[in-house]
Amino acid sequence: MPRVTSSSSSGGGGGAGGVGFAASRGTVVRTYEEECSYITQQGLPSLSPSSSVTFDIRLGFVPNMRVPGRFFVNERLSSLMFEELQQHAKTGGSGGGFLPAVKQIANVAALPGIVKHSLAMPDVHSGYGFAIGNVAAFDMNDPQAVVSPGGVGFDINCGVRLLRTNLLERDIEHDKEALCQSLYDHIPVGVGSQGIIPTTASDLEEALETGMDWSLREGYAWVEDKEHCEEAGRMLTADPLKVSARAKKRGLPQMGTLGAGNHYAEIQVVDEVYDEVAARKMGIGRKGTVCVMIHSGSRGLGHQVATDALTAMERAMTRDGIMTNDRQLACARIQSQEGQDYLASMSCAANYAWVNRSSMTFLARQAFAKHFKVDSAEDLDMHVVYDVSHNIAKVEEHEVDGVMKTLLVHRKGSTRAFPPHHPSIPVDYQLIGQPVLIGGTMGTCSYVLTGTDKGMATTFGSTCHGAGRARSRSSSRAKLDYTDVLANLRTKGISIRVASPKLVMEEAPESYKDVTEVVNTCDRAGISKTVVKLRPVGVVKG
Amino acid sequence: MASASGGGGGGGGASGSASASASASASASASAPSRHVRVLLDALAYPLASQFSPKSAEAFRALVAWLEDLKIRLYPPPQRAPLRDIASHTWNATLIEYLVALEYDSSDTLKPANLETPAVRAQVTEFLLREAVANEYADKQDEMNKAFPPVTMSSRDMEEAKPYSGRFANTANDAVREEINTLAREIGCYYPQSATTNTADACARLLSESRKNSAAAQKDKGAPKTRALANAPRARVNVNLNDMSSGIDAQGDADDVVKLLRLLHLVQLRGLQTEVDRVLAEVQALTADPRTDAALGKVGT
Repeated sequence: MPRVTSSSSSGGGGGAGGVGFAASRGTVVRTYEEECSYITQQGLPSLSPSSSVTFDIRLGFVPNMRVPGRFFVNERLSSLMFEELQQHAKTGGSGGGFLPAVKQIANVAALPGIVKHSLAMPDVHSGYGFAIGNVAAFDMNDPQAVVSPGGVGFDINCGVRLLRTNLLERDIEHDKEALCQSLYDHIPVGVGSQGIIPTTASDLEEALETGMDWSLREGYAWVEDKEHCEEAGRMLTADPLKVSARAKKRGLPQMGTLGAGNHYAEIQVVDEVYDEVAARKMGIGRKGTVCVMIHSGSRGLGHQVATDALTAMERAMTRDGIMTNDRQLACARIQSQEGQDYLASMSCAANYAWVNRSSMTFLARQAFAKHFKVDSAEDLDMHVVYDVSHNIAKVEEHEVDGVMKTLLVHRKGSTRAFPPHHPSIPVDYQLIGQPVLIGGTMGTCSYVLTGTDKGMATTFGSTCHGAGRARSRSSSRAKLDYTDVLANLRTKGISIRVASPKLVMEEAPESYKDVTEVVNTCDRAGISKTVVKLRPVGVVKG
Repeated sequence: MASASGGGGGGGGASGSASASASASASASASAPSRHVRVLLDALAYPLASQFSPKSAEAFRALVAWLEDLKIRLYPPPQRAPLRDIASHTWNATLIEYLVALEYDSSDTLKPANLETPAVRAQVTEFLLREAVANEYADKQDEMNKAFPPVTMSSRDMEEAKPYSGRFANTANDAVREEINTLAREIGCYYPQSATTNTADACARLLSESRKNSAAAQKDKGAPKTRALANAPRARVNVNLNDMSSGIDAQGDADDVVKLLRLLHLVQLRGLQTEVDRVLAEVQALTADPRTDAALGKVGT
């Protein structure tokens, strides 16, 4: 366990004297103990079972911090985080790869215009510039405030959608394999996959501008789907003229494809119900109810939009004299041309991702309807429970120190989790709070949570997004054998269809943190409430 | 329509609110129906209301059969026979099936043996009564609304009502208050007497609007039924006030009043959303042409 200062004792500013800057990364060379003296655990000392899961990072941990950092981890998750920091301290920051997540959180706290805290969810791990799991809000009325593509991520509007059915586990017990195959036959997966929904260049332009409204108009979505989707499946700020031709070229053939990496379509069943009222309201209150979870994003288009923006922003930073601690934190003032262009193109990529998930919903409904020989998926009650985005920046109203402010909230690997009665959540969920969908790793469980008032007050209405990587992709490839991973899934009775089996060890449960620990930590911190646990019975992956 | 009640469910918490105590009394003295249940029975004009007790299995079963036959009508008539067969030894299992179909919250955990307990029967009774009242209102809202012509007030009443522009606004006036409470009961917004003044005050501002809206909604009843409408979530809420939060920092009656207002607001909002969905579905019928072409598909590596 790391030596972390408890808030009941005073956190000494140990290593502040005699430090030097590691110029290229803006980090300070200190011993591990000195680094830890900047991190304070709220409440009781860390070894107590009732200890708080909230840790604060004091100003000074990295240069130029404007606000403190804050992260939520329980005993088990914290060890991963502190080991990373220890390693970093040992090598004096010259270890290569990404900075430790805790340093990344602090570097974000040094960006212009940030308010309140740079926050990290329990599934936090190092990413490009911003840690994955980082939430940062910037004051829209501060002319210096910035927007950063690194704070959104390369897979813009990567998200999770959950469909329910009126089937129970026993209804699919004997034909699980066939159903899984049917899903695999309908949804193209893998690197370089191409979709089966004919899409022209002008279709793409319209889809980028209108998001799920395009899916609805063309008949790929049901009217009710829009209601149960964050932002009703359309960012109004989208401008396809701001998306490069290269990005559009990459996006056109990929519409309606799942992709690779950690993306999947899973057939799941309700395994545990923790909040019956909320679960029933979502139509998943009965144990054994069969659901379909789709985890996917904006494919190559989103990646290209982010890459284009990073190049443009590096130029803007030099022009406007914006200094950051890490070169990967490329950003631009929100009100600058580059900032506005990024927000318009990011919105297009977000719209693309919603269209993509809607197209896959259409295909999943077809697969189920054909398999069960019904006229339409309506007979199977295949409604969208909800659709969340966990890589996006959005303009929202939040109370900061008793004052309502308009903020640009970056959520990278974090899910919006608004409380009951919030005007931005669908009428059906007004009494229970926004559903939050947490996709587990391949073969482990997934969760449905709801947003809380405490989350609204402390994390800008945000919570975790998944398990969070514990081991790098290359380390997973080196240490795990794909045949073992697949055999392990079969032992659990999970049907699996993968396009590239040799890559499954990157996504094996062993490569990730335990999603249950992550979800429980959020529950303990009060930033979301656990409603339902889902167990996979069939997995389709790239 | 909103049918907010403090009874039934898990409740029993001693929060001190009127609704919590109503709930406690429902489960504690299961021998006699709670006041809440009596009011609901009266509202439905149940002929055997005076003899009803959840303690009697026969009375309970007879009530359930009557409610389904005349008020709830979930099943087509031939399917109702097993519920009417109240002497059958499989009747409890039939009821559980029925409750599942009605989306009763605790139907998953309900076992036929539990239904022999008066406390469980009391909870089920209350749930079914709320469903029935809501159905009754949905069926008869036009007639009911007609039955309540504008309140006639004496010149003194008018004087008292001056600071307000609304017809029901002066809740200090007994006649007005009674009128509002009657209306609230009719639309399924029954609320315990102790909170009457506040409830009436709060409802007053919304009731005129609610009535206007229901009349407007009624006009559209002849419109073609689209998928959006057929599958839309039910436009009314059957909730236990103890299960919801008001979302603001209020105590006791004030907190309950906020919850009630929120429920009324939600009903309006759901109506609006359903209407939006209906329009979208009509337009979609003209524009949609979904196609797939398997030849285009390519599985990646």
